[in-house]
Amino acid sequence: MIADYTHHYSLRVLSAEEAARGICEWEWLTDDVLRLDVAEHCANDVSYFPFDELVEALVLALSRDCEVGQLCESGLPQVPLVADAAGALAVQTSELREVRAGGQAMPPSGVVPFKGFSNYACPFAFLADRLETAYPIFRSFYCRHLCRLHTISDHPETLLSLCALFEQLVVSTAPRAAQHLQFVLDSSPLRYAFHWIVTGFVGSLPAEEVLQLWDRVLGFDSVALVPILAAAIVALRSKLILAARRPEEVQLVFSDISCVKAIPLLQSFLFAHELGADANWRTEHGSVLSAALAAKKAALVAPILEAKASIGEHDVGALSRLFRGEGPASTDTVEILLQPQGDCNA
Amino acid sequence: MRRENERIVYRTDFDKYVLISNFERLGWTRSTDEDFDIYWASVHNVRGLFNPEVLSKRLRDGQVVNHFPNHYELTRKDLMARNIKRYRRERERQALQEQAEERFLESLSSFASFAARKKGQSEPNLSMPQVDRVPPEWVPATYSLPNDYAIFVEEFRKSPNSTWIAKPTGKAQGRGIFLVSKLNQLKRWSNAPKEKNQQGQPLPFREPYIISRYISNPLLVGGKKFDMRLYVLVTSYRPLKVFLYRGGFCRFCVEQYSTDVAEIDNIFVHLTNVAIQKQAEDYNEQHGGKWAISDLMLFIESTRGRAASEKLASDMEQIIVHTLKAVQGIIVNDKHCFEMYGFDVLIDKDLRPWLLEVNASPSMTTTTEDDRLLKLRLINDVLNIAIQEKRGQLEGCDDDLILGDFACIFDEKPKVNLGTRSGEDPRSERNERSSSRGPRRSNSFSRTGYWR
Repeated sequence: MIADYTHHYSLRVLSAEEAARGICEWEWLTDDVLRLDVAEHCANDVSYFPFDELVEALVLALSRDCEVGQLCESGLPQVPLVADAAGALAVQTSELREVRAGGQAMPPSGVVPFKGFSNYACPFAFLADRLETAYPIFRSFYCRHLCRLHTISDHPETLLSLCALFEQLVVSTAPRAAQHLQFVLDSSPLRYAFHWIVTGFVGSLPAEEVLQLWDRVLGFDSVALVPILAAAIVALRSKLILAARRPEEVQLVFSDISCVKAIPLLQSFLFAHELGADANWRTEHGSVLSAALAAKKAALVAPILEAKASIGEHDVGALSRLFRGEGPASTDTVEILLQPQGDCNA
Repeated sequence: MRRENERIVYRTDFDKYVLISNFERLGWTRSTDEDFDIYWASVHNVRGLFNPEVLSKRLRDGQVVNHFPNHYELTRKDLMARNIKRYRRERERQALQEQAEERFLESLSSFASFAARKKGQSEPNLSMPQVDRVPPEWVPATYSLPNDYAIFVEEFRKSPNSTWIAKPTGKAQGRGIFLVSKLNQLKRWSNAPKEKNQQGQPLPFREPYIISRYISNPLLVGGKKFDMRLYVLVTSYRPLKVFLYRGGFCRFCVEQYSTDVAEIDNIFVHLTNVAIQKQAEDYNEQHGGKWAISDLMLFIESTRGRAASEKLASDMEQIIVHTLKAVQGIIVNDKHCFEMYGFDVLIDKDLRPWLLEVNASPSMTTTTEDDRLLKLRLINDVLNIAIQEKRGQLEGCDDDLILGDFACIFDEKPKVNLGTRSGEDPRSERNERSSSRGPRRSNSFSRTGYWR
């Protein structure tokens, strides 16, 4: 398996130094963890199971990619595991350059896998049937957006602030449901939606919906759309939540969202005013979103909507066509498009 | 669907959960004799039912059965191949003839328009209506053994590197199938112990087999071979009315595909039958190797573009309709009958669909949770449509509530209020329309695409 993908691998992505040291031929402890994760999630999923080998190759390749740690814009997702030259686990540090001085991050990417990590790679298996086409897209998208979904830090738009955004949105659009969960059931909406946010809805929404959502994440250049959609779903099901009397019933309300259409829901949630008062967006009160609540919600999502204005010609349609591989094998174009914000309008 | 206070009686030869639970949910009563309104029969019992010598068993008005009397013209592998071959030859001959007529008319019309222009009149319309083109070959070359043995050997020698697949005509679930890449491998069939009759005496004939060209370059997903199971409901052959189920699925092999000669006998690589794959070591009970066709279409659209996936969906519908048209003339169009077929289709690397076989009794056994839900809904929709069609309640119906997950892909019934426009060729009434009400909104398998 390792030999397979090192053969197909674009050496531009792996640093030459590493190839020379033969790191690629080594087994890492995390390899088995990742393989087990793929076997538990991807290989059992009714939509992703044919791709289990490709998904395994994608996550293993990512774990060996030394540049991932630097490429992640919000920094390393967590404190990396470091082994010193002697192979023992050294003092932990969150700065990757200190790692380079003395020891070796394990795995080389600095990202320690967790349960469900392989979910991130699953939707990419639909977009390309070969590793060399799928991997650059996966890596870029991971470093730019997906890593934020499991990064715990004070960088903007990482997991903590995404969860906070979710909670604020739920409180402003479905306050009664939130209170019901809090006081009657001693729970909170975040407890149920956390899984959706961390996985980016992989495994909860159908593959097509996930891809469309991630399309918009790319277009708006903001991963905040994930908790926004989560809040929209909670608001959509607020009546059912209010009717629930026991924790099992709430679990049922959140367990199956496979019939949710992500984009229409997001649109009506975000743009209800632009769509007109008769757009079917109603709070649980049965009245159209009141001006005060609307203003509050608008304030929360305004920074994201502003980003929309700067996209320019790189509209969503073009980006999703890119994912479909229409046009030349465009790893260069992907890298250009995924450059930091400032260059976007070039 | 049920009239007020109506008591519907059903009879079934299968005690499958998906059938019984549908019957009971509808509040129908069970019977075991001739007193029934609807009979979900086995093919064996249907033979007796339509036996002309047993008059007492003739069906009354209003009784409905789930098989046509001579469905085997379509569902036996050798007869299907033969009927389709004959149909294609006939249509090709017809097409050539019509092409010649068209050229003649064109030369006429160019003369006529020249004459008209001379007189200052507008050009007359003498164009021919387009005849449905028969799709390129969709059944791999098939020969019967032992009857066509000599012809087969000739064909085999002409293509030395080809692989062939031998299947017994009368068996199901992948039993007795093997691959042949060298002539001496056929000894497996010719040397097989002979079948025995009921008295235990060996029959003079070997078990009948067919041998077809093996499609060795199938489309692979994740490196694995798969085929598709499509459910097709036919409520009448003349006029032909066909419904296709949106919930078809792909059946995956557990092992990675390989054309390696060493793997030629590895049934887990080559044969997609669930009955076979279930025995593989890595068989997974969560998904059972079954993949939704909508996921396949998403994959094809993502990797090859929307045009390719739409073309594939349209090609699949084409071969289904043309296969049914091939036997349209010979199936006994008994008004009591409808039939739900299981079409097995394989796609090759060039996205070309191939029909492997048609099953008269597609399996009602369920292997996973999703599978059970799918088949429950399938039977529900089949019963709905079949009963209402037989009562003539579905004229020009496109309503999803009634059709459920089925879509009508072909309807030959002429519309009552459609008069021919002046100047239109009267033969256009015979031309097939592909929907019961104007152009169909959406192709049965194509997805709505990215929202823009």
